[in-house]
Amino acid sequence: MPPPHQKRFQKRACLFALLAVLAGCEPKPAADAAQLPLPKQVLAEQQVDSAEVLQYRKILQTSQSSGALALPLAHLNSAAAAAQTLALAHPILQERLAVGSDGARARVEVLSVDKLRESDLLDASGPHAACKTSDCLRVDLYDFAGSRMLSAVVDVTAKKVLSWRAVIGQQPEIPDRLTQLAIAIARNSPEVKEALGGAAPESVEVLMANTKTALNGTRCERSQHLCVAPTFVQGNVAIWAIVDLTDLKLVGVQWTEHGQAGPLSDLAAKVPSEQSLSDAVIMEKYCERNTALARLGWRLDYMLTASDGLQISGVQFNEREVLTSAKLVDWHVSYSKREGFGYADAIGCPSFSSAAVIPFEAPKIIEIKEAERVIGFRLQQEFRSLGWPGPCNYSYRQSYDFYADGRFRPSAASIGAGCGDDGTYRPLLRIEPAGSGWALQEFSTIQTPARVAGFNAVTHERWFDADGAVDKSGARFRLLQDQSSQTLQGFDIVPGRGQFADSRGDFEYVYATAKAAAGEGSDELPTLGSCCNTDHKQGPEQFINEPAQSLDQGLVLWYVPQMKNELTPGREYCWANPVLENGVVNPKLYPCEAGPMFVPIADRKAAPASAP
Amino acid sequence: MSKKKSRKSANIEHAKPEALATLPSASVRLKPSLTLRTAALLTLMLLAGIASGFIAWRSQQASIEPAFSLQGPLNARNSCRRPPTFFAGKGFGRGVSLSTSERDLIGIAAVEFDPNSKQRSRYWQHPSWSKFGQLSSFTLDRQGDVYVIPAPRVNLADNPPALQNRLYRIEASSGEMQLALEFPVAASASARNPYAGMALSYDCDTHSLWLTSVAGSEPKRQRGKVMRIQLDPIAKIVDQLDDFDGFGLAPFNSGATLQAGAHKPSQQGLLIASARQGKIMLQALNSEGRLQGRPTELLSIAGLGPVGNDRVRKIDIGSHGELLLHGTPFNFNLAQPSAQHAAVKYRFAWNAQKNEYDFVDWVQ
Repeated sequence: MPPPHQKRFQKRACLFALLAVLAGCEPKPAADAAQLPLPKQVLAEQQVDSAEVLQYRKILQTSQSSGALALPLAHLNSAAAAAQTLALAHPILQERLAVGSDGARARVEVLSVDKLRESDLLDASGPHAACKTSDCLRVDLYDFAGSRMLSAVVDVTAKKVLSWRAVIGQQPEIPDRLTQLAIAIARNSPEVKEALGGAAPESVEVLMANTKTALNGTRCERSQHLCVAPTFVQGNVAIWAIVDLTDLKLVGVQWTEHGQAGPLSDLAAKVPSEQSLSDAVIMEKYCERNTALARLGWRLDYMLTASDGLQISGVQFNEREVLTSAKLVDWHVSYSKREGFGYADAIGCPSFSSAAVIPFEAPKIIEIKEAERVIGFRLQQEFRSLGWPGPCNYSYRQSYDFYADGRFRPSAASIGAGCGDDGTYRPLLRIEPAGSGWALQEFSTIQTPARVAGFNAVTHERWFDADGAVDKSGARFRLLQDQSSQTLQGFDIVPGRGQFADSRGDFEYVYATAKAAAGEGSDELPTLGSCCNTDHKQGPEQFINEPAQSLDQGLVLWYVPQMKNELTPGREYCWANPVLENGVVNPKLYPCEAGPMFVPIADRKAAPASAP
Repeated sequence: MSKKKSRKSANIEHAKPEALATLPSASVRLKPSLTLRTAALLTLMLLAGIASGFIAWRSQQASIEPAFSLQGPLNARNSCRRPPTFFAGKGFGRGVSLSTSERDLIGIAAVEFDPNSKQRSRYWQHPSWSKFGQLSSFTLDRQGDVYVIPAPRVNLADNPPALQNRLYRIEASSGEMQLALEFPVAASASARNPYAGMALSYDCDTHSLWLTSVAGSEPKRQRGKVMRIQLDPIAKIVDQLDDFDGFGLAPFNSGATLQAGAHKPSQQGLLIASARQGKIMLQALNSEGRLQGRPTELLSIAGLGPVGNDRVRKIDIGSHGELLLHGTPFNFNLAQPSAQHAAVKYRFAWNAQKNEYDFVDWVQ
């Protein structure tokens, strides 16, 4: 029997050995486990043109006014200048360049005049065969309206244009003047200043002297504009700015503290694109968390959902709870000339969502003014299909207007451009008043044994037909919250009858359902209802129970307006047209918007509902 | 992950001084014989610890596979596929094909197009073909059976998320479509990630299917799977790669050595497109066609094409080893590609000098 101290020793020795074995088994952390700092990203805010951009616009305007087809390159040698002149004077160029309704031609700039590439000479019997014995140069131009590169091969000796070629989807090399402009746009932006620690250098030259600067290529996949990414390294901060050279504006900025500054070429592999930057910002800031907003007595949270659009929640006015939440569950689009043809589109986050139409930009907060006075604000989110405003691609706008006097209005707008002139849009708005004690009343002009002329109580779940009667103030419904026989607050619900901007009337179906458990819209709702029903069967009727439940324990309002599109010139509605103006293509918008205005009646004496 | 590891190793660091501190005093008190025996035991255990540590280190080194580099152009492993016979007697000509992308039809359909107008001139669906919602990738096997997976298009109305982890089989002669398999998922498809199966590819050499799934994947975490499904006697998963979000895929052979009078491939592998980037990954398979190690990057279509941001939904290996990659925008949502982005194909050709694939061009 070993003595206790020996046993203790053996025990400890065994423990030590066991630990040695365990230590041997413990895998070493992988070399790449060291976490690099996550990049910071921002999307650019609305911008005012800098002096450099204004000057460049002036140059473009002067060139247009002079009748030149394209902005030429300066300081070329005589052969290159001759090639440029021959290319720009060629009739094919004039024929192929679009002219806008304002008379302005598509913006075209000469990017380079250079020697031929091997690929230009591959076909021995092709149009460039003469170049084997003659002096030929290649003139590359960029058509900013068509987002395409135009390349001419010019025989300088014979003074002749041998061929033209148009290429879409290729990143062209840009000339020094556009490089300088891109860097200037980046330098002047508050986003780059913030990334550089609060102050940008005074000039492009200083910036370039103080930083390692490179101009990388990048893509603006959604706008299809010509974009570049000026890249700066200052100290241990690397900055990528995405500059849109078609609109002459900054798209956004990504930066990171990357430790020891490596060669700029290492950073080229990490250049963000318009889409990657925009999706990253929107996902992180608006899809993964709520954003709090407090203005003009209103407090609320908002976030983008996976399939129910922009949701607001916890809405309070002057410390009183008004709404638990409001959101847009689906867009139904049907086409009358083709039975059963249409789409049910969800709107929501740009990735990891079931949205068919997604946001390209962050939500905006816009002041609502009346006679130069701020009377409210609008929280707005736009959603788009990638090919919008092309045919069968869609753009939707979801908004919440809040006024200092307590009014609020959730609304939805379609900005086309659907699959034809026979489209009807039906957005499904879900509005859940906060708390209980709410009573709904419906206005009627007709007196029957069951109802009075005026507001009648709605005690149980039901749906209401489109385009119901409204009272003198425009209210179709009245919503009152009572507690202990006292009215806490109340709203007249005023549908669109053509009185709101961008509206020809809501033609709304309305549904009142009892506040329900999960699966009826308090959480994310997958596709609800059919795209193409033209009656009240838009989806929310599924939540009206048999027998109808009482609404006294809380209610949910569903508001489904109907907007019929129109393409008649001068009367376009729910539509968008690509228009060439000032040399570039921009969509001309004809939105149709619908949604009910909630007008507080707390200060008025709320008329008691007439019991049937 | 790194935090967890450092915490664990801190525990070991904490335990060691405690054991070491007792050693000197204990050794002084021990009899020489005992001390010697115990010291020998201790030494043996220490050596065992070191040896086991060495083995663990070696196995860790082994798990970091040397890069699987190609020795030659690829040969497809799906050339044994046969057309089904259920078309017979339906009045179709030679131009008949199967389609899951007809905008006005749900499920899968046999379709024929007028060569002049390019409009669909005829279609046929077995009654079972439209019962399971929108379908996406499909493939034939050597018997003419068709395998197809569901995926939502535009919305979830016809494709409830809970029913997306399914593989269906269409019997070659009857055309009857039935559930073949429900495959495992890290989490069910949902409104936040409505996808499960992404692509299918048939492997003649093993008479099995390769399937990619992204079910349960999250914005910052890949939880997808690449699975090999044995088809006989019943569909069954026999091999699986976890935590990788794949899209299009294609098994291949490469290189050839003469063994027992026959040319045998010296390399077997799987090309798997990433669903998150424009990358094509190279996954080694062993001689039995089983997954070996983790995939490594072979090539990328990032920055190429009209948009520069496509994912590869389908990989075709040509008769000379050339690769035809079918690109599409994909962002884990239900946004549909616009006409401008329809069907971009990227061509890559084998460069024998450099022993790698070179980008040739893209066409639309």
